[in-house]
Amino acid sequence: MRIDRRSFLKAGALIGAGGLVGPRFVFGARHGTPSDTVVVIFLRGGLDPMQAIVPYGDSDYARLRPTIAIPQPGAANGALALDGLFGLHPSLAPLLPIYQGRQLAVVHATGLKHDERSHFACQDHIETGIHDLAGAGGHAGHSGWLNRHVMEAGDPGGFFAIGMGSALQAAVRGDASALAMQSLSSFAFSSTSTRKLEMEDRLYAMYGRDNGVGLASRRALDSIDYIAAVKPAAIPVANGAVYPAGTFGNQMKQVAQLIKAGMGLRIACVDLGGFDHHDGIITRLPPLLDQLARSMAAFHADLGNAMGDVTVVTMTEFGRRAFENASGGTDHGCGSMMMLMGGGVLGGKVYADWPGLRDVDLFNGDLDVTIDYRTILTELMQKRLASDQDGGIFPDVLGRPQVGCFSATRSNPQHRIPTPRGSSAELT
Amino acid sequence: MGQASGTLTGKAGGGTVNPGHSGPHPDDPALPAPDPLHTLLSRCCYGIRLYDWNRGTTLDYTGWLTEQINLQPSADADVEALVASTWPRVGMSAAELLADVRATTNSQIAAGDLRAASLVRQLHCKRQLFETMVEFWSDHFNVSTTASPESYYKCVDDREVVRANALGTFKTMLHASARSLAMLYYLDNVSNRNTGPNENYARELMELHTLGVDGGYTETDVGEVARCFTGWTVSGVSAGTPAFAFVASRHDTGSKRVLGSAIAAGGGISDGNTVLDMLAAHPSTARYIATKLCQKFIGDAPQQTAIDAVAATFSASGGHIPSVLMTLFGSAEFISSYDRKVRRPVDYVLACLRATDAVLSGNFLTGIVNRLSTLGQLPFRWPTPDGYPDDMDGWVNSGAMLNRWNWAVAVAEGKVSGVSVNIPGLSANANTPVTLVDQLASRLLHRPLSTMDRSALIGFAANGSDPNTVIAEPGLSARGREVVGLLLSSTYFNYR
Repeated sequence: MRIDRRSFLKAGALIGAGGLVGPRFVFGARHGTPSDTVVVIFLRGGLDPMQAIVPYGDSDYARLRPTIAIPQPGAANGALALDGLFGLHPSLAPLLPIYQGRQLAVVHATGLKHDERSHFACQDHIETGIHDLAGAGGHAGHSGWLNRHVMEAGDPGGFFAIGMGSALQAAVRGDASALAMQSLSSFAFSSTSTRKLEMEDRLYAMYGRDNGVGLASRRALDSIDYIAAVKPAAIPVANGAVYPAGTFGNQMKQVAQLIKAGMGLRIACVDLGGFDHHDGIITRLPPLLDQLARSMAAFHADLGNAMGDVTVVTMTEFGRRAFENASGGTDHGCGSMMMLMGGGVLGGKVYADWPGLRDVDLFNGDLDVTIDYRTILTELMQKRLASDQDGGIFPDVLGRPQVGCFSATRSNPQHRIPTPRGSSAELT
Repeated sequence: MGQASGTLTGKAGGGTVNPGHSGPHPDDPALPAPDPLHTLLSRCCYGIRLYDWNRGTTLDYTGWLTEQINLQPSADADVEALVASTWPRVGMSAAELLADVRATTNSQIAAGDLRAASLVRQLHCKRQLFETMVEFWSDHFNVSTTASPESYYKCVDDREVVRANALGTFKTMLHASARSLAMLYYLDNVSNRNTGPNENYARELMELHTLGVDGGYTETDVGEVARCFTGWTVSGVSAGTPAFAFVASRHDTGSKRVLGSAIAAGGGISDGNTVLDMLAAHPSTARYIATKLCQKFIGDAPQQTAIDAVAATFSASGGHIPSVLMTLFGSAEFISSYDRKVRRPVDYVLACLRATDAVLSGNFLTGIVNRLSTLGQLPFRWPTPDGYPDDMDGWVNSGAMLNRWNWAVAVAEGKVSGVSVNIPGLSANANTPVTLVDQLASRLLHRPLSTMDRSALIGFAANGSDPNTVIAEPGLSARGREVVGLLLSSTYFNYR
């Protein structure tokens, strides 16, 4: 016999995970542990790390890029100095005050050191966090690194982990639950029928099987009442923050709304695409960096003190060749850069073990990787999510040295991994 | 119900059709197996109109497939006349498109015309398999219309690269794509020159168009192929006569080595042609195209036996696409693949309209386009060169399922402007819970419901009353709308 979704919820009954119907009741050991909300911004296409964060103090930079190099600090359209070696692309200017306020850090010459230069293969590597995908074997080796954290956190369900957009990002895909949201306002079941709730229950029953469509459908139906009750889309932007027009800015605004609504969001993925600048990088990169910087700055301002429990991380699939091509662009390369923003970031600093840009310093003609990006993420997990103490998320870098770019001190110990939904008070 | 019987042989392309046996489904064993004809039609059409189902039952499995492969463009002359009069940019030459953009100073009008024309063709053309293959190759040789000038030259690419060859031969399509203005701009070969080669086209040509990422090429091959294509560009833009051109002064005249073969110095334009021929004939290309076709039509993780058979036909036929498709649709793996593929958004959104034979008028395209925008599959808007995904991970998630159901329910409730569904017609005026559910399920799904789902829907329609008594109005109309909405939202209809 099938159990009606709502009467089941009201009864507060428990059934094991893997039952045919009903929300998942998986109790992890980690709920209750203090945890940040982590927002991962994936810059798809392979951001050129040396156009965005300019190594102006390395004299080889201008040699390798005679027509596209960003001018020295102080020159017209010059870099904005972060230290004696690095500067921000001028379009990233909205991030400078956050850097100066020590809530923004940069990690340079980071990424994954390997010979692969395919967008899609490299996105798979970066988002699973596994270098040797063939060797990792099995489904676990192919789940996203954030999904492995969701599993580790006890798979609390609900709005714990989300991806903004029409598809769930690979980083958060896997067996643990995560919701893709095209928008907060469209995350609802709409019907003018007087029997709308019964229609939802029929759908819940018809999608009772634990396959892809079944799980996604039941997770949707388990979550729509909560978001309809809380109405995060109605929460206003705070502190005079102004998000830029466009999909990315709008998605960052909605992530902030979910955070402010206190709905238990701890993992959010947002994408910004279009960074594959094989040509015309001088004109094509600035509008994208502008969107990125203004959205991040608005998010930072909008959340205000809540940024103490939020960490934003930017990633991309690979860097670019160190030298420009004849099209005024750069082809696929290796070493890249990450930006880290939040109250727990030891900011105001560029973390780098700069490999240099002389011909002998390059890795296959590319900026080399001297900091494996997974050591940064492992530190993030350990200090901000009280997680991955045993290397289960990034087994390849277990025990490797960390750069020390995060603080383990928490401004608000009450910001925790939430208790799995349905295990305590019924949400209304 | 059009059950194909025995072993049938289809002569088109020399392939063999063997509908085989439908066994229990490993992923969704509770769903009763559909007729093989259902699997064929739902994979080859944008939803099954009553016309398609009747045509299929009349001609049978092989007959329908053969007709689809052999149908001439004249079969859809009515649709093409509508396209030509409503969206004229779709038929313009590159020079006309450039002049139009200069006159209107809007580089996105042509992309909008092409999008509308594509959706209308998918909705109305009798050549449903052709339109399905057009979409497959549009993804394979993806050109995004988000930027210009690709946004308008894509109209030429769509016509002369994709539609001209969708059921032709792969090599011809590959050569046409390499010379396509839209592709030359999209993958930057337009500025690929000897003084500093641009690797973008060379890499994607091998990774995405031919060999596949594991197809046996190296980073050195990428650089060498890029050198072969130096000088392949676009000329005549300032004069208003844009055309493919080989500019010898931009070409790297030295010798090259590609995939282990030497290409002698001084070959000029033949360097690129040699590379295209080499790639089209390469066994990795046969394997890669076969894998993609099997992933589209059989399942996200198709059996190696099916891939091998399709690849063998690809190689033996010189990349003759109809022959390749006959092998695929004739395979036992295809016949037993029902409920393994989820409809993509374009397919789902249009199928809700085609399955119900909805009457479309006025601004019906606006609703379709808005929904596809939310679901993330506006035609020709996928930004990266890999094309829209065709697997469960790409399209199935909680937000997407809600947005699909909301479309189905809005269609059933008559809430989409310009879209009208005649529910009494679909239900043949059935008026009891049992007959209403049975008739609508048969008419919309063309396959049996599981016992459990059938009784759940009958229970819903009965709403506490005897399932065999007549439902009085206005309850009957409401139940009809609700059941249509639920059937279109169901697992059955989300599979193709």
